[in-house]
Amino acid sequence: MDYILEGLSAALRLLFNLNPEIREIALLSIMVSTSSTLIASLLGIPLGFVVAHYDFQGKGIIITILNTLLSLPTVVVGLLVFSFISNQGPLGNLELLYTPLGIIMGQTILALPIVVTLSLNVIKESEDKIIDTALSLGASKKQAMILLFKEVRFGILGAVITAYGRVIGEVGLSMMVGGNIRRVTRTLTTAIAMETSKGEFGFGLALGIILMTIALAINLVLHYFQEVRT
Amino acid sequence: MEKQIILTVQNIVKYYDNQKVLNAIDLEVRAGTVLALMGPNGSGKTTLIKILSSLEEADKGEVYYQGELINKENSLNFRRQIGFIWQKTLLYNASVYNNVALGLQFRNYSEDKIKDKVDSTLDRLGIVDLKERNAKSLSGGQQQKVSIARTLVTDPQIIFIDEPNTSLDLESIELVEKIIKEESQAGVPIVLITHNFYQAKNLGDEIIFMKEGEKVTHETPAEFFEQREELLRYV
Ligand SMILES: Nc1ncnc2c1ncn2[C@@H]1O[C@H](COP(=O)(O)OP(=O)(O)OP(=O)(O)O)[C@@H](O)[C@H]1O
Ligand SMILES: [Mg+2]
Repeated sequence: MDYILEGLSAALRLLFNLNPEIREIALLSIMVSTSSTLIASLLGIPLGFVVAHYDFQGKGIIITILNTLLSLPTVVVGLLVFSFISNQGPLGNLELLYTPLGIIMGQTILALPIVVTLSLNVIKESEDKIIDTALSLGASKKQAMILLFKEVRFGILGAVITAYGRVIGEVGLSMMVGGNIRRVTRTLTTAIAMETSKGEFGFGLALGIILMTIALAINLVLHYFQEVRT
Repeated sequence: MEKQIILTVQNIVKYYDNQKVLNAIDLEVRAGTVLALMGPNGSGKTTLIKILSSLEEADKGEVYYQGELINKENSLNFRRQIGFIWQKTLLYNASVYNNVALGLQFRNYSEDKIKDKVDSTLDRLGIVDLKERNAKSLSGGQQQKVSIARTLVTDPQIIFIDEPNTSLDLESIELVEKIIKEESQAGVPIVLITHNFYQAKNLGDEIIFMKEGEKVTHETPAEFFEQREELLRYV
């Protein structure tokens, strides 16, 4: 018990003094995860809309692939990305391995299927009725689409936040692709794993508290939007 | 004197997934008349009025509004002449005021005009006190009234109503019936889907009975209830 309490007091001291290394790690984590979620959203929301809205050949296959990606362990995605960006990989000459950009790339692959499938579901669930009702009220096709987006915006935001929660908390991919290099690719999760195994329990705990605070904030925002939605 | 024909449909055929749900439907809708559409579940009533109101395309057949064939070019304009009250209402996540204003915004009315029209329509339906409430937080019956207001506010030239009685109490049903009478007396034709044969008898000038996508009868309530009693067991 003493061990935990001592760790906790060390952690609080580190946080209270705004320890520069901790700040750096937290900022890098937030930067990397925000970038990957943003890229995944820019690609994923339109893709979700297209898959929900249009019928085309191969639609079933796309949905199956997305669902498979959704349940892939992060280390498997890490392995996949690693094989592409390592020296001998097809993208080796871009030198993305052990860089923040490499982690962003991997996390984008993790976040994308979440954004696509969740926003696809939100759109599919309500699209027909919203569009039909709008058209019956005299909307043009374009006005009906704008209304559809307004109506599903909170649901889509929920999809984006869920994706952010997944990438900020993942450790397998960041470790494999980023390498946990100090001051370069060390993120909250990889640092926690390392510091704790090194016996720097207080340091690990301080990072853990930050991560928990972020997770809590994410869930509060998510909860808020789900309340507003209904 | 025969009342003026507002809407004519000829030989409407509709398939859903290779299943024929409407077979060669012809009909006319005349000014100031209430056309009651009856028939068992799944007989194609909703599909038919969606085609009549240009919300759905028929696989065969034509719809004419005041003699003009409805096509891709003029269907938006046509849709802006009609009103549609749904069986299951969908109100948007916004205030009652904004829900009712929507149809007018689609038609690019000025803010002042919108305010006047929305206020007077809310008053007509007795729901002024709900104006600022979020429409999604209302009871089923209140929502139905908002959806009726939302339709009437655009001064539709034809009104399609899909089973208005679901989730309404007696007082509200009477309100809907009063509005149907007022509108039809003002010359607006109304196509009313109902499972309630008293309603069809009291409000309807004509009754169409459908079964399995076919029009079985089209006659006055008096004729219908004299000769077709046996059909009513389907409703
Ligand atoms: N979007 C759709 N896709 C496939 N089939 C449909 C669709 N809409 C309706 N149908 C089918 O078309 C037939 C007619 O349906 P419709 O909704 O017009 O019946 P209805 O007479 O309005 O029934 P109810 O009294 O239950 O409202 C039914 O068999 C229904 O399953
Ligand atoms: Mg129906």
